[in-house]
Amino acid sequence: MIFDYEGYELKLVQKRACKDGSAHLFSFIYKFYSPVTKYFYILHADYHEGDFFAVKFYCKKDRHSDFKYSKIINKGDVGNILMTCVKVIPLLLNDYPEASFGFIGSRTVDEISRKVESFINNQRFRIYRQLIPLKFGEKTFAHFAYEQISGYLLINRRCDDIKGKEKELIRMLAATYNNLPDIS
Amino acid sequence: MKANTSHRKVASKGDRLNWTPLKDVKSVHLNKNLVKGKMVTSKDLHESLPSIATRKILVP
Repeated sequence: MIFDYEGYELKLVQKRACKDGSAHLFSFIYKFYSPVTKYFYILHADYHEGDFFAVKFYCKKDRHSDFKYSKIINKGDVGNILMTCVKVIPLLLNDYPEASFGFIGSRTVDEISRKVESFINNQRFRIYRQLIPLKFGEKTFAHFAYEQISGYLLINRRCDDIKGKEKELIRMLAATYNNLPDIS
Repeated sequence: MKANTSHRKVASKGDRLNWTPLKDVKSVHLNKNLVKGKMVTSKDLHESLPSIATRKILVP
């Protein structure tokens, strides 16, 4: 697999402060358009204490849904959509050269049967786990995979202590999102 | 006469894969056992991937 999709242009919509007192400090919100699915997509890069961005995205038409991160659009163009999302990382590295990044594969909701997949090694995570090492080498980031929660971390190698940074980020994320694998 | 169709009702994905009903989903709190990660080593990265020369990487 080479996964050579160009992706689309990301447009910065706004920088939104988060004042809920948690480690989540602010978000950069981007949008992009897929001419194949004919939908707009919204991407959030949530900046946290510890110089860490959590990257997540959803289809704009589902913005009011409780399951917006869990829906399957099923109109194709996955390669370009995912490539557009990962392109935010080099963009953010320009301004935050020491930042680390993370993703969680959301659990898919099947709206017909009203059932939800497991949070362990789910289908989105399996794709991210293939894609990320294809596009990000080891010089800038150390890669960590968390199959039990379908998570993936890219720890910036500018940190002196990679393992220590990983532990620090896990502690911060556990305190901020203590019900992370929940779908709501 | 009854039409002979090949159309068969297929079970939904959630039923086929035996997923959890939405009403039964409970919050799962993160703990040390759940966030046991694995560092993806050079060996892991290079074994399954095309060489650096053939892949268009975004960040080295």
